[in-house]
Amino acid sequence: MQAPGAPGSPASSGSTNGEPIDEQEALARLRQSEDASLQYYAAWWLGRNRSRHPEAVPLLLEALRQRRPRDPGAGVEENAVARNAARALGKLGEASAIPDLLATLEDGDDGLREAAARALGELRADAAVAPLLRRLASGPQGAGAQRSDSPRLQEPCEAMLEALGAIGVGGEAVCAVVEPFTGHERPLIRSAACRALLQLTGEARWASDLVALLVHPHLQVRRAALMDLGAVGWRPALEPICRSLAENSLKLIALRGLVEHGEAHEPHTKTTAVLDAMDTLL
Amino acid sequence: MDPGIDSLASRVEAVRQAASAEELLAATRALALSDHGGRVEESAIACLVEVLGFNNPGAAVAAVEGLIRLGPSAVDPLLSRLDPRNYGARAWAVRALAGIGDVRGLALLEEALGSDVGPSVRRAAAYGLGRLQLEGLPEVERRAVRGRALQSLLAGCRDGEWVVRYAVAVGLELLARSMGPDPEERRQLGESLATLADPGREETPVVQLRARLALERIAELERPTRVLFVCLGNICRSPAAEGVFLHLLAREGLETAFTVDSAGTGGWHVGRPADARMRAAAARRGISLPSRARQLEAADLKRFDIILPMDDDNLAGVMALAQRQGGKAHAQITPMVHYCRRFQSREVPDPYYGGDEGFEHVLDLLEDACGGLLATLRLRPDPARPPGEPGRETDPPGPGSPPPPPSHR
Repeated sequence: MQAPGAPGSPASSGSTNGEPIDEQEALARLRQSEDASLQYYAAWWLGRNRSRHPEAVPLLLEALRQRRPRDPGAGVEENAVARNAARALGKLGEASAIPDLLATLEDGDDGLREAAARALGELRADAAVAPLLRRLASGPQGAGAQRSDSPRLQEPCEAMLEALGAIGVGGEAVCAVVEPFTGHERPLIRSAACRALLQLTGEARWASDLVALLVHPHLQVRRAALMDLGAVGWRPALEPICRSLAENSLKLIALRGLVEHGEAHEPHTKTTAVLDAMDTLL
Repeated sequence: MDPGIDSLASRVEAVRQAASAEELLAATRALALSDHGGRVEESAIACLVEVLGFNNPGAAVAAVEGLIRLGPSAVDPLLSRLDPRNYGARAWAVRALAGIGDVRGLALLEEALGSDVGPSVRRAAAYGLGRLQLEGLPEVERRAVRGRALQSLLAGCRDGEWVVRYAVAVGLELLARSMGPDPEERRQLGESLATLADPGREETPVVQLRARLALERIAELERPTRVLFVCLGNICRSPAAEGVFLHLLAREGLETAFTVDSAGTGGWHVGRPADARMRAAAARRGISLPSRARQLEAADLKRFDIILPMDDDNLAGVMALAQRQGGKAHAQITPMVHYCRRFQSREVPDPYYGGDEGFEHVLDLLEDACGGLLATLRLRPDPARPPGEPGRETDPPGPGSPPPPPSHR
């Protein structure tokens, strides 16, 4: 789940003075390789502004291949550039990037695998289903277990589960891999698994777990549930979403999802009802 | 020590001392819902404004509600305590100002929509610009405020964030309700909503949908009020009512504001013009009756805003038809005599079997009732709301008239 302001959207890049740049400047910054922080910002910029310039994708694919081991003291590492490149390629809807992103899904850097998984989800890449299932097959105790050296999990499970839901290829094999994660100890992982199952099966039982998370004591969990219900467009959750204790901005994003993705779920909840609810949150 | 002030001070203290998010929420709610006994308590207002900056959305919602309840007295504190560094607090403050709707907030809302870095602030401002309360202001000032709000919203259509453009569509719809007849302003407003509704020019589906909804609702607001007079055969009383009402509209220059028709509960005379005696009596008053008789049908209950039966039998007939639709009539059903101002009559009597004086009497009643009906309908700010709501009637209900059904909107 990407909350607004997540890493990858530079609030202030050290090497810019905060002035807005244009497309030519972004491409120039991405082209050079002496200053990684400029590349980092440029990759983000191209994705955020949905660049259609013919050089954008080749340069982003180049940047996707840049690697440098993580060195906390060195400022912005090269892998961070690759991560922003992956995110941007997802936002650009660039299907030709799928092979490179599939390769990135096998990288040793789990942050990079996370960005690649999200991008493949945005691209609805059917070819990603098999590798994602392979990586998640070991379940909550394997892929979902915590690493010894950090609070992160062995695999970026949240991103991978969401990607499976977004790609939309369902069936027994997929559900068999995803379902165990609905019992993971971390609520954010459970939320991602329920969201994916809801998207893949449309079965209301997966929604009730998500709706219950809307009243979880932790704000972070409530936010995740809001985003997940919005991504699915689960209209029966209209009331609980409105009542949830969270920022109006997130509720508005969730309700937008109900409007744009939700026609199939509970046809009785008309679009007008969701729009009226959105109005009250402005 | 005034117990009112004392308990208020302790509630303010409770907010200040809150040690957890839950405590803050509870204490804020208690303060927000306090009965201030009509006094303005600045410490309470200041405290609620502070809560807006605490990064506790639940408490902020409660504080905003409390500030809106306090109304105009909260406006100056909100304006003077806006935090330039905390856009979350600013967004809540703008929400509170939008909810209060005081015109003193106009300059702030304009600036917020035009240049605040926080999308949450800008969207709250867009909404607020549509909600400014203009009642009580002189017309010249009202026009000035509306003009500024409109220009600000028009510029807001180009905001980079979908949620701000969404709020602009809502603000434009709200503004349209209080918009004067200025055709240039109406055109600009309509055009910007059309842009936002156009998938070729607006990329976000939910914004397109909201703009389209706004245009539909404005069209509904502007459409003519649809009036249907009903009697038994549609050859005497209801065609006369129709003719009298049209005559009155023509005299007042209001023909385009209304759609008028008549019908009969029975079908014996379908296709026939009005009774010759009634036509003659009307002609003596300079009124022509152009009708051809038709029978009332189920669709009329949806097609018209108000249906006016002439007597109790007609009323029963209309109500029976309404019941057969499962009570889903859009139209308000009110007896014609309800709108009489000079005459006290239980019904408009059927003149068919009587003499000339019967036709004259019916026309007298109808002229009286049509005058009252028009006076009432003209006062309606929103044609989508049926006439006869409490507080909006100019005349007391006539004897034996049923209370108006509840509004559907």
